Amino acid sequence: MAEDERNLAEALTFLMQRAGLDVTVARDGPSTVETARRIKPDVIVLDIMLPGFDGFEVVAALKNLGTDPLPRIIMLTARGHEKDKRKALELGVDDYVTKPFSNRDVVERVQALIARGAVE
Amino acid sequence: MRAPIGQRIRKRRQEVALSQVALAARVEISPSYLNLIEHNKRAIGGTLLNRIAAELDLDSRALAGTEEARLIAELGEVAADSALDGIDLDQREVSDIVASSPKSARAILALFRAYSEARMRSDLIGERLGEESFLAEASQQILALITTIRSYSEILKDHGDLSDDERRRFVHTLVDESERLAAQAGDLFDFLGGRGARRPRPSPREEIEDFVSDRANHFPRLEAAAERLRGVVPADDAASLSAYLKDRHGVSVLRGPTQGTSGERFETVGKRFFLADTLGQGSARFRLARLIGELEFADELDAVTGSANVSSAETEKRLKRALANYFAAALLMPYAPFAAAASETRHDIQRLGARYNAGFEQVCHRLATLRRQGAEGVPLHFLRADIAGNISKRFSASGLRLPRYGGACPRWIVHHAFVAPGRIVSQFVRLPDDEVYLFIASTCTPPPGSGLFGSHHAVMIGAAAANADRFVYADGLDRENLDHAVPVGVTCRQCPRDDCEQRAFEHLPVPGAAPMT
Repeated sequence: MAEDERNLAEALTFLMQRAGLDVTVARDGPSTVETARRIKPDVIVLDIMLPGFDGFEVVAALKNLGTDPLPRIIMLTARGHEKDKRKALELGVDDYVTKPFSNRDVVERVQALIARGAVE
Repeated sequence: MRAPIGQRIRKRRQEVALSQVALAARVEISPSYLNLIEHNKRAIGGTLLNRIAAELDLDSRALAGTEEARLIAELGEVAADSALDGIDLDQREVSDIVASSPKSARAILALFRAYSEARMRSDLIGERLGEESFLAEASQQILALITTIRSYSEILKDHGDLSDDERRRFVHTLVDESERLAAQAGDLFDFLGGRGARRPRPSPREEIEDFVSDRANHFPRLEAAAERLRGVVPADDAASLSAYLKDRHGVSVLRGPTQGTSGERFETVGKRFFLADTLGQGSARFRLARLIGELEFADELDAVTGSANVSSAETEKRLKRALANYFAAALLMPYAPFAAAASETRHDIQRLGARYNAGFEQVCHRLATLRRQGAEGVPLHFLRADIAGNISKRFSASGLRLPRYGGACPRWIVHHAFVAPGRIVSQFVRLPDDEVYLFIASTCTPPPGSGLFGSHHAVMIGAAAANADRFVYADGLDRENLDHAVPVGVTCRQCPRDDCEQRAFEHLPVPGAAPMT
């Protein structure tokens, strides 16, 4: 989970752990890339507005570094702008959620992506 | 309107108990000429200013009053604004305010800036609502806080099996986040309602321009850094700079398809620098030099940026980038040989561009930085305008005042450059105060692949007509008869030329302004 809002990250972590998921939190762009390279997660819940560099740059960095396999990515953002959504999907992001979202919705989407990964 | 250099010379001369005759003899001018200078009736600069400063044991930059000149010019422009109609602030009073209390002058300018910003805001508020960065940022923070509050509320509602400790912690978080939300919402309402408005401050561009202007557009620390590196790196071609980046900083330079909107992209993690393959050798070299500056001289850039005491992180970021550009120019166009070449070619910008593999704007900008004490080039002004007349860069050491709060006189050749794209055009102009200048301008074509296709700018430099012999661009003009110089102003509001067919705004007469001749 790449989220710089500490309290929001804690709430989502709590819910994901309750759903049986193993969660690691990164709070800025560069540490997200480093953590993803190290632990190779199934899914990254990625806030667009991260310090250091933003969510889009994180995705680009992971691709440029040839991270294989590229984790499934859900973009988490306060922006509701269509252009950001388009940009995210063009970059190959799997899903996109706009704040304020429902916790249950995010957890279900993460579980769905993990299930999809398992089937493929 | 001249800076009160003459008054300062007289005051200092009297302090050191030197007669006018004695000082005139020491600096090898006539006493009557010194008398005119002391009464501010003659412009003074260059070698003579340095000699007088040395005799009076003063720093020539302090004597020239670089910042004061800027304050006077800006106050003069403010005095001509319609908001001060009826107050009749004349030139002498403006000069006196700056000389007797620079702080008051700064305060007036700060108030005017706040007023201008408020006026601009009221004009633009409708269309800016969706784009205003404060609003965008505030609404994002509010959404994030609402999301957090919603998350904890759902947890408390859905999970009856929470431990007491967890429940207590989550409730505390809810309270904290609610308070943050209330504060954030308060800020937003203040902003929208205009009460308790944020302290208006200059825009990043204005702050940077002020800083650069107060430092006379010359940064010895960056010049020294560039010279140190020049001894190590053969900066003559992009390949050498790329090799240096690899050897010294482990950065791989990769040329490829267009890189976003700027023609470049630097990956800090992978240490890779992508440059659009359509960028010419000159543009690529400049960007490589800038990156070397940013990586190798971060301390120097931080120190110079820190000395500016700017008011926002955005300004700091932009200033650092501007200084890195300065470093790149200093590396690629080293001070001493470049100054010598400028003199030898009589400021032939095309020849200098060919010799240093640089574009019109880069060469002009570098010429305007030749202000090293004791090795000064010709004092120049530099201005960049777009096709609509908006000025995006300005600096003046020539004595010409450049407008700050509006567009420049439509008769300035910088606007005419768009009629002859790619050609270097020049003119002699006469200001209402009878000062005559040589203006030189050309359009700038953005390098292919830079992502700037379709942006049209023209750059103008110029110098006092007394220096015209040092420019090839004066050769085709009537140097012998400067009465034919094009009559111009600075801005319409301040220009008394009532017969001008290009007048766009009414003249607001200021008592004490130079009479028309």
